[in-house]
Amino acid sequence: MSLHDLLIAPFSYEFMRRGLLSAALLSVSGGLLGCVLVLRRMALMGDALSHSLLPGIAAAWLLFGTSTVALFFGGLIAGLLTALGSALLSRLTRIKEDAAFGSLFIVFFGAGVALTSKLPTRLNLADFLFGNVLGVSAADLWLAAAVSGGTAAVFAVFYRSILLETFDPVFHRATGGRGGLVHMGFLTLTVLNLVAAMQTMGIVLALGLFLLPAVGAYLWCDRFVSMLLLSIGLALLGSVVGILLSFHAGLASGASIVLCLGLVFLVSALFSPRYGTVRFLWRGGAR
Amino acid sequence: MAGGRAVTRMKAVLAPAVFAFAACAALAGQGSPPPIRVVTLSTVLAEIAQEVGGREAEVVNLVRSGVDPHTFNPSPADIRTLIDADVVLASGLGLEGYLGRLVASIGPRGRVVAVGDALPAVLWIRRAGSGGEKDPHWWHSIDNMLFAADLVRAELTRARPESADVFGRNAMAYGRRLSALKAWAAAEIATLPPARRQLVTSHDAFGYFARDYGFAIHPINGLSTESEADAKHLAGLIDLVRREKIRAVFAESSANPRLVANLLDETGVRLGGTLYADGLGPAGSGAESYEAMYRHNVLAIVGALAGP
Repeated sequence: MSLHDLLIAPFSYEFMRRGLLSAALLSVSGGLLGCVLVLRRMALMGDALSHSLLPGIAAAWLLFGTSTVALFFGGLIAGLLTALGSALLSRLTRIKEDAAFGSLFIVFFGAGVALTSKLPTRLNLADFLFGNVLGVSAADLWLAAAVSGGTAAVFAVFYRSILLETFDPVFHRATGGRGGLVHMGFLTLTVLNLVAAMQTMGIVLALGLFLLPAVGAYLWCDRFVSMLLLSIGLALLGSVVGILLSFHAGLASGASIVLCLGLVFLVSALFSPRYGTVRFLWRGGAR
Repeated sequence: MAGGRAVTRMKAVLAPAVFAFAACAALAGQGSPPPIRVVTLSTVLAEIAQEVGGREAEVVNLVRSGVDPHTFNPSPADIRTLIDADVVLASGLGLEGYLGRLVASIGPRGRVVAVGDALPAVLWIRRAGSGGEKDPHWWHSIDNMLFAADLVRAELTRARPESADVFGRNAMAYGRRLSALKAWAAAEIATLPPARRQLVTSHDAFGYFARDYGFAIHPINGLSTESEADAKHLAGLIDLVRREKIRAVFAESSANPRLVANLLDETGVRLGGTLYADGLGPAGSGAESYEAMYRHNVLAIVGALAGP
């Protein structure tokens, strides 16, 4: 197999180009967003949020068919209901936000599974949970471009607020920053990106594209800007290699992207010169 | 037996009255024993059971039109219906991946007949590789339908031997209609040059149809809707459509349309129409009966592939 067959030939097909482009676009916004999720310790919350999208998507499919716009709004509404609902529950009852989130998302996920079992047309649940690069439509690509561009723009405009709220929320709020608003903003952005990544990555695996590059980058960088840039770079690398792997090895696209990013994460965790396991053990566990 | 004697005595007394009543009831079409309860797991089998059983069978179909038979998930109410059935008809040959589990766990009162498994083995299509998996979509061959109708006749006769004649007549009439359909389909497809007999479909459901009429089949997904197509396979299919200049690609009534949409985008060929792969169409679709479904498929295929 020549280098051309290995790297170029797969992208002579429109559907492969679309899958790659959509993954690359979401690598940019996912890489940015993942850093904030990791630093604000919202990683598991993002995971829960991704599962809660299912009933919205299933209901949209039920009512409007496969239209990307309908699926997008379905997922968006379900995700925002979960985020807002748990924020409200944690303020109006004695349960904390993590418990509220954990409870709500599993109810939503259950409702989603129940709905998909009632759908009149065949809906491959696996396609939604784990993605299918073969099904990326032109509309999906436009959605990915809009969401990616929107996320990058939000980061550019509110960079200072994001930086402050991430590293020193007490100071940010004391100086008049709207902490709750920024928090909801992050959750909204996460939902938007998850929905956009659904077709390529699947809702369960999409978070891997956001989270894994960010934790990888966190192990190498000390400065926020370099962490953001490295995270985007790793996400892009993982997407390209993952999609090629999925083509040549006949693997599901989302899973092979996540596996490639997982390898990067594992290598970083072991061999990062300052924060890796090897370094840690070498120094006898003393930091 | 005391009861027997009592009945005999009563019979003697009531015989003329009973006879008169029975005659009236028979004329009114009532008074016959309750119908045989047949539960089917596909729309096609429901039609066969209804055609053969006539008024003596009460057919309940659990896997309705549009529901994927490969991944059907029976509800508790469905299971109650299954337990109460006299005869349960399944497509078999692995179409209902859940069938063995279902039968083992509920232990229905009646007989469970996997119609496909009971067909003569020479009629089965086995796919190369993957352990010689059998193609379960047997109803796309009318010859198989004739065998299936006879099987159902035998099952109903076993459940109610006294109605053997009725079932025999019904099966014969249904068989004549199926044979006429076969002749019609063969004549329609004969107009299509052999080089054009190439079927690109969502999943591998038309193997029997292809064998009967000399088509080559190129499915996007495998025998079950569960089997995933991978990118390389789709790429190969795109190359094939371009190379062989295949004119149309077919969607399936119950399949996820996105993959087909991408294939159309990529190759620029048109959608030849929607085929009914896994059963009959819903009410109002114009494909509610087997004959209508089959005509729809044949006309869609011939129309799309014969075009300029």
